[in-house]
Amino acid sequence: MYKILVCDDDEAILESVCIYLKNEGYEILTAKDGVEALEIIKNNELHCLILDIMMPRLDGLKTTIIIREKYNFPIILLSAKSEDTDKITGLSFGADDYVTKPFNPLELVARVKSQIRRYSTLGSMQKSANTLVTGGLELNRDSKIVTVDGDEVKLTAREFNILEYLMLNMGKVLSSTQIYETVWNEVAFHTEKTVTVHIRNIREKIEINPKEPKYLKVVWGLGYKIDKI
Amino acid sequence: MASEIYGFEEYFGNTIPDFYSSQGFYTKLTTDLYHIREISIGNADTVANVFEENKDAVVDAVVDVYLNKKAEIIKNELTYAVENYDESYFNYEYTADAVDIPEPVTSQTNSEPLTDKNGNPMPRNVEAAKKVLESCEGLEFLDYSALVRQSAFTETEFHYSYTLNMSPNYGYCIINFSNYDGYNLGKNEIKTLFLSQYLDINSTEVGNAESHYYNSLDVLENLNVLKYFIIDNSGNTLTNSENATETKFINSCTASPVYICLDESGFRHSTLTEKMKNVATDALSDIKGSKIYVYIDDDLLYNTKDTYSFMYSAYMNMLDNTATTTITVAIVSLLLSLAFFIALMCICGHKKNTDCCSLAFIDKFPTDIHVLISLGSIAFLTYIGIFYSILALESTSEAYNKLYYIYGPTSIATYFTIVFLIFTEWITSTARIIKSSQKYTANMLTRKVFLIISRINKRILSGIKKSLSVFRYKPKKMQKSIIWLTAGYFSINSILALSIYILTMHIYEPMLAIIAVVLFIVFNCVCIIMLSEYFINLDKIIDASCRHESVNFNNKNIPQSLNILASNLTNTKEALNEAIEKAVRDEQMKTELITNVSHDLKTPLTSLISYSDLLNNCNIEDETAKKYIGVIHNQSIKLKRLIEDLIEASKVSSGNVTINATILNLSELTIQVIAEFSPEIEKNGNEIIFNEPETAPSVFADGSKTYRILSNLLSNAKKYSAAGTRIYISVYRENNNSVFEIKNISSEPLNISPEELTERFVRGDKSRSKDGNGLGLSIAKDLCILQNGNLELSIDGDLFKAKVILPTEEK
Repeated sequence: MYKILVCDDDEAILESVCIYLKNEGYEILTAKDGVEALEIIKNNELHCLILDIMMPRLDGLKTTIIIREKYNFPIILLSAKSEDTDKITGLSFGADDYVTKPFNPLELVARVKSQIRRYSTLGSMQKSANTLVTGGLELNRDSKIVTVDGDEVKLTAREFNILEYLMLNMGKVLSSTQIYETVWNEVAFHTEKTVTVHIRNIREKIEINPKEPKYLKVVWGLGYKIDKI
Repeated sequence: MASEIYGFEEYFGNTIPDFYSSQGFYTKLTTDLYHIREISIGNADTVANVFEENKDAVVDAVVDVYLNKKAEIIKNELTYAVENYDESYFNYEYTADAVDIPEPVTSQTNSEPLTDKNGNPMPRNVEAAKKVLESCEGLEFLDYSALVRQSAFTETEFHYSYTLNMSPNYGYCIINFSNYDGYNLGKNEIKTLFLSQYLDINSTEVGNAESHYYNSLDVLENLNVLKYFIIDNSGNTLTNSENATETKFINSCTASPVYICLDESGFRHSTLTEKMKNVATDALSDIKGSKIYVYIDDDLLYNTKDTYSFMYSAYMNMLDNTATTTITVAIVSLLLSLAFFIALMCICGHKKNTDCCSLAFIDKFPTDIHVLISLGSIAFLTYIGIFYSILALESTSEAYNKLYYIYGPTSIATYFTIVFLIFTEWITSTARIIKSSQKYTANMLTRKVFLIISRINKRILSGIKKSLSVFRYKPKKMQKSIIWLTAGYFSINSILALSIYILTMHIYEPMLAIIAVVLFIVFNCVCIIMLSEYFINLDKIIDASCRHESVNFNNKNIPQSLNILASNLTNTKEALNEAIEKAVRDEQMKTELITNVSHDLKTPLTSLISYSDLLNNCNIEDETAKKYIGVIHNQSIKLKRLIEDLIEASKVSSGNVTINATILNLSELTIQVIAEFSPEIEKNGNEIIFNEPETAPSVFADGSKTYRILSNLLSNAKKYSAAGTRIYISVYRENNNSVFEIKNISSEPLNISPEELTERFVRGDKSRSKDGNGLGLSIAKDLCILQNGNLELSIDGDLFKAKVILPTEEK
């Protein structure tokens, strides 16, 4: 039984999140604000924390900072702020994921699952030298196996090559022409669409929400990249 | 002489005068009459006789006059001595001893000695003088000449003398006294002295008379035409007529046309002109005791050696040969010249083979200068002519006269010719100018000069006006006293400078001058320091205004004007700061408002979505309830999208977004967007046709914002395209911009203008049947504009076309 603390000042949200997570079989604790949450954390061993940012008394960001001084369980921030800067701030303060309101409850559940899986099983796993990792995404170049939060994902050879190329150049933006010329090993000519279709397919396979990709990001007008998480 | 012979008046008057009325004859006769007067007075013998006869009477009279005068002088000196006696006069003691007081005076000195006004006794000579004055009268003063030694009264001696002027011919005698030491001379000595002088005068006068007499006689002897017969008062007869007796001469006289007789019966003469009569009377009327007969011999022509006959023949020649013919010739010439003049006026200015009138070189010359030169040269010639004519007329020299007669007419003719030529030159020039229809005044130097002067004048006037307007300005914020301060400064300076000048140059007052100089220096130093302070404060204000700081003066004692300036600057600055703060505050509030609203909207919406989903998963038997739950869930999702779009629209339209622009490949971006949308679009039964260009156009824009624009357009195309139609997408370069163009066929008729479409909450389908909130195009347009681009929409029937125009380079 994993223990999850949900912390939000809005009771309706709190309750609905609890319902979804209880349905998945987690043990749920609730808190109304950061102070309460800190109190609970002190007395319980948690596996995941869902934390709203805008709360009275102690807000989510401050709470995150305090928690990260002692604990390393995953924290998923919930916020009505949808700007990129807000997300970046939240993640850099030590949160592991960021979900904007209004969210799809199932997506939240999926993200919680993913975080718990990573936290409980993968944290100590030995990684071979030929494995490329970013966050929960792992690509083994020898066995040609790709896993997301431990679950194996089935990719075609082309898709694997594209993902491998992107992960080898982690953090770099690669244009579809570059990707085509490397993967297909041909001179690219009006082939961007081909690459784009493959990228979309990869995203649908490895991302929880392909519209808001976590790993394979589109750099509009330039290309694609995978960031080191 | 003959000047009047050529006179216009005489030619064209009533009569031509005869020779005896002419000026020349009249002048000659006048001189000759004076010679006759001279010889009729008499020769040297008669003069000597007159002197001898009058000798005693004259000398006696002169001596009487002299002695009387002398006595008067002595009396005056004595009077002076007594009246002006002064004790301090240093010569008294000395001269008093030297004076020998004569008997008649001492006999009367029994009375008490005289004293002056202070009671001191008078010097003896003064005492004596006083007594003489009291007792004497008239010539008696002469006896006391010794009393009035000059040294007794004055430092310098006066010597009285006299001169005697006498002229028996004119009957006068003048004695002038001066500087003659004649006090001690007796009456007889004086008489002898005067007598000797009288004889001296006598001899001189006789000599003069003699020379005059013979000179006149000499002149008269050379005259043949003028006959004279004179019997002087001594009975001597003088004549130039041979074998003539008095009666015989008188007969010849009266037969002559011009005669003058003066005898015991009075003054008789021929019918002379009034002028002539006056001259004859002047010359001869005062001759007494003589008989004078003068006449002009009628036989002028045969006495060729005579001046009269020479003049007469010249005059007659003139009359005979010149006068009449000249008049005729003159009239004919005048007519001819008139005719030629008219002809000249007609032809001047016309050149061969030309119709119009051409100007000569001289016509370009300023016309007024032309007139002046012409008039000037004529005036100069006239002046020279008149000058030499006068010279010739006034000269008595025979040679000059003859020269005048010979060359006079030629010179006059030449003169008129030259004048005429100058005049002709000028009049033809004028005629040419007028004929060439040029304005005569156009070329005038005067006009040009006047124009220039008036232009300069205008400029000067405007300049003065401009500078005077400085004085009309009334200070608005400066103290009015600044005017008085300035005036005071200049007047005090002027007064000080003036006083320094006066004290050093006119009144030599070194101390005052130094004080004035010191005052001047001190005053100016104080003024300069005050002015510097003013400018330092002004500079502080300007500096503060440049640095947007408020001005704080520690010293409150600054001029009102600067105070106003400083406080105004501070007020302005504060107002500006307030405005900026308000703007910043407003902006923050707006951002906060958006954030808060989004939070407050999103939080309940999250619950709505979650619970509708939970409800959906509940075990509900009622199908209707399930349907309702589905509707709630769908609408809440739709509401979520609407809120997201609304927040974004408000952010974008308020410019509350950050644009991180880089160079993007528009082609790549388009493909990425198409890749996002193609599955859904193809699901709707539409097809995207993208014509990829040879060279990919680049844009300078924010990738995610541009993606938002394109995705909004594609999502519109997805929503509103008619089933089975194709969506055409193309990218290309246009001038300095890159263009993304999308065309689709609307499933509904587009009864709306492209402008309206970009308004918020406006949708192409009025029925609002499709999902969509009418914000997509508005957001897209705002984002385009934020990135220095534009969104152009056009509707052609069912064809909907959108053009995203973005700059290729950073601006």
